[in-house]
Amino acid sequence: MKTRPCRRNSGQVLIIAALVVTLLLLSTALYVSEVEKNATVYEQRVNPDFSEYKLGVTHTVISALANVSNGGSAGVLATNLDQFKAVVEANSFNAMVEMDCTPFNAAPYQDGFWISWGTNGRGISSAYVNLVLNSSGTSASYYSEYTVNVTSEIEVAGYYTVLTGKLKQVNLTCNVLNEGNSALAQNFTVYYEQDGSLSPEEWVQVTSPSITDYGNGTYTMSFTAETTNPEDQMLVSVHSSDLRYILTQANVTCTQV
Amino acid sequence: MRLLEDKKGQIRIIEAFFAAVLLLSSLTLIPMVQERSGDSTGNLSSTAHNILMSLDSDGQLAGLIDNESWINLKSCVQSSLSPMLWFNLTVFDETRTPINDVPITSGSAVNDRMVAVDYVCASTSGDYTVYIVRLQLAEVD
Repeated sequence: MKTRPCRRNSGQVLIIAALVVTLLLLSTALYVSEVEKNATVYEQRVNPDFSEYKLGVTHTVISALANVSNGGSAGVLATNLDQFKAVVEANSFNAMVEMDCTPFNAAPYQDGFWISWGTNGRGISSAYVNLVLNSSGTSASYYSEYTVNVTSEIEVAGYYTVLTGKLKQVNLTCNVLNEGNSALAQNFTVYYEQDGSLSPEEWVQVTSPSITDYGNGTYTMSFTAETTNPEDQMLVSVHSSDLRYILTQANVTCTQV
Repeated sequence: MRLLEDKKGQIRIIEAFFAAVLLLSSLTLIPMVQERSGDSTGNLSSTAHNILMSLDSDGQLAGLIDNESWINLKSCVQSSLSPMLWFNLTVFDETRTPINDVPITSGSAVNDRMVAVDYVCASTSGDYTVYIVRLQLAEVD
C-alpha cells in the first residue's frame, strides 16, 4: 500500500528527468556555440579583407606602371602606395591593420620597376612590390606576406620584301602578354628607321598600318616603308599600350625574304 | 479493476514514449541553435564583400567611379544581387566625403536589419585615386 503513490508518479519523474536532460543538452549546445564565437583564431587562415587589400595594391602598382611607362617619375609608386596604405589603415574599424609595401630593389628591378625595351624584339615593362599585411582584432589575428608583380610584355618578329628600289613591304607579328599570359592591346604605334641605322635616330611613324587582331594576344601588322637607300636594313620599333594603359616598346631588325 | 491495471501499463509505455520524443526533439534542436549562431547578417556581409571584390577584380569598379557612371554602377550591383535583397551604395573620397550625387539604391529600406560593408578601392588609371565604397544590404521581408 505504501509503494503505490511512488509507482503512480514514476512516469512523471521520467518526464521531468527527460526535461532536465533536454535543458542540459540545449544549454551545452548554446554554451559551445557562444564559446566558438568568442574564441581567438590562431589557425593559419587568410583574413578575407586581405584579398581586398592585395587587389588594391595590385591596382596601385598597375597605375604607377602605366604612369612610369608613359614617362612619369619612378617615385609615383611609393607615393601611391603610401596613399593607399593611409586610407586602409584609417578605415579598418574591425581590426588594427598594418600594411607594409616595399618596392623590390634587386636586379633587374630598381625602385620596384624594370623597364627593358630591347632591340631583340622583346620589350618588358614590369613592377614588383612585396606586401606584408598584419591584422589584430578582438576575435582574430592574421599575418600574410604577398608579392605583387605586374608585367606587360611584347614579342615582335618581322620580315620584309623589297618592292621597287627604296620601297619595302614589311610584315610584323606581335604577341602581347600580361603576367606571362596572352593579353589584348589597346593600341599600337609603329615606327621604322629611315636609314636603317640608330646613329642618328631618324624614326618615321607609320601612318595607318594594316593590323589584324587574332583575339588571342597575337597581332600581325603590315605596311610599306621607304628607306633612304635600297640596301638599308629594316629596323622597326613597335610601341604597344595594353588594356591597362601600360606602354611597352620593342625594336626588331626585320629579315629580308 | 483488472482492466484498469492493464491500462496503467500502457500509460507507462506512453509516458516513456513521450520522454523519448522529448529527448530526440532536443537533439534535433541542437543543429538549429548552431546554425543560428552563424546568422544571416554574416551571409549578407560576405555577399556584399564578394560583389565589390568581383566588380573590382578587373578595375571596373574604380573605372565606373572615375567616369561618374552612377547608373551603370547601379546596374552592375543590381545584376549581381538577388531581387530579394535591398541595397544602397555610397562612394566616398579619402576624406569620407560622399561623391555620388545620384542615389545608387534599389529603393527605400524595407528591413531594419541591414549590414554595411566598407571597401577600399584604388583606381588603375595613371591619375591615381583611392575611393571608399560602402555597400548596405538588407533582406526584403
